Amino acid sequence: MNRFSVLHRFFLSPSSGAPLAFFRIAIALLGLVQAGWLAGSIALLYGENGLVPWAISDGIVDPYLPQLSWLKPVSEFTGLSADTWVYIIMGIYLLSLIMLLLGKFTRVAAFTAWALHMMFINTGFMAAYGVETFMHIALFYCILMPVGHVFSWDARWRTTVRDSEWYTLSIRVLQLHLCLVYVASGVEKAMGTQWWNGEAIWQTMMQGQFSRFDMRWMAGFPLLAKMLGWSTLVLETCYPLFIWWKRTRPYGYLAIVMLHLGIAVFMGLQLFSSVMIIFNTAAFGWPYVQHIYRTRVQPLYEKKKLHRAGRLATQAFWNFE
Amino acid sequence: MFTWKHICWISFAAFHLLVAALHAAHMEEWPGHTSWLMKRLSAYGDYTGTGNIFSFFAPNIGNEIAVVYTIANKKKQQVTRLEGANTECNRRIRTIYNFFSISEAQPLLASSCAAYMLHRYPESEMIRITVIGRQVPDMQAFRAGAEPKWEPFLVKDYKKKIASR
Repeated sequence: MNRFSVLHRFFLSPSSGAPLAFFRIAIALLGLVQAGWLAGSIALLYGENGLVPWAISDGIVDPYLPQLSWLKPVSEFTGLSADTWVYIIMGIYLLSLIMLLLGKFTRVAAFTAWALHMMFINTGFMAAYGVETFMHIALFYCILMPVGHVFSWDARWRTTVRDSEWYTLSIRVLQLHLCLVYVASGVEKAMGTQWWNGEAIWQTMMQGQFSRFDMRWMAGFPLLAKMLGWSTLVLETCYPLFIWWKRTRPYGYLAIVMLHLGIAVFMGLQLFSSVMIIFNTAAFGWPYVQHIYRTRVQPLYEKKKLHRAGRLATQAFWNFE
Repeated sequence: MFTWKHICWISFAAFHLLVAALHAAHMEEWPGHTSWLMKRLSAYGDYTGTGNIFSFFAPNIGNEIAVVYTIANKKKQQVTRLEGANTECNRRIRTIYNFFSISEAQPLLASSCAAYMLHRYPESEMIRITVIGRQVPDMQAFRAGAEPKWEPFLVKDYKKKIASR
């Protein structure tokens, strides 16, 4: 087997489009939840006279990047206030996410959502954190990748869903990008002493903005904090190793999902954790999710159906009598 | 068999991931980052999401920062904070406040916070911004009895300009 055929098999052996459909649906849903969560704070975070007003963000953000301040001439022309236009833009963003969720005009919807999302994150760049970073990456991928070929309105008349090499190439890009993210994040953490001596975990748990539980007891168990710090470093820096090897992949996927669930529960970063779990599931975890569905959830439905059929048959029998 | 379409898309994917890797390796801090090529790569990164570094909680954890606003006019005075019941909004407010840890950003950020509060409380005549940082002792010091404490590190007063008749 020559090098080219190995490359061909790696990037282009046909596979299912289901993980990409999951990616599209989950990202759109997450975007809707996020927008809903922040709906009452739009003017504060992104408004012309918000906490960081347009006059400041305009001067800091590169002028070639789309920003909400570009709406000023529109606002002057229409006579509507700039903040009203921000709400209108938010409405269009929500609409595009709904279209993306349904898979109707998928690429146009993804493009619109990506462009408007960029306007919001550039204007509110000082308020943005990890969830915005990954939403931006995800929406860009939704434009280029064939995320609307399966489980979508656009594909409702398609009778046969064929495996395709383009699904594989897209998944490979997601996988490699994720490996890069985790290694970079792990290396950056490893450069600080706090992640080695457990202080990073302690300091985070003691900050009011993150802590959900009283974690003062942790000071009495410094070894536990140290172990948690080390496990984070190992999970992130060695991510490509355990996620690529098929034997360790299910455990690696489970470990990384557990890490993000831990972040959601103990630090309250639910949106960030969700976006990372979505990325991991689309890139590596979909076969396991499918397996769990087929072996655990589907039999339950079938059992229910059988039970119902049995009941109907008994009823029919007695009626006949 | 590779077709031209395959080759084009794989090359584009490789370029895309390379840009992501360069940015993750802090390309923008390298010498020569202002060159024509680097600027184009940076713009590509900004648009596609490949322009990020991933230093979440790294290398160390910064102090928690909060802002207390004292709003006053001739009749009354009140002390308030911007955070409310919405946890996701609070997180973003705190993310903005974290920029107070950069001394160069302090005057600009303090005045924009004050401007927002003056806008929100139009009857106010004076706003005092008190930026406080929470010092959490390390585990050993905590076991020895030290407690986390809030300490103010920036106090600024802003008065509303009243137009003279």
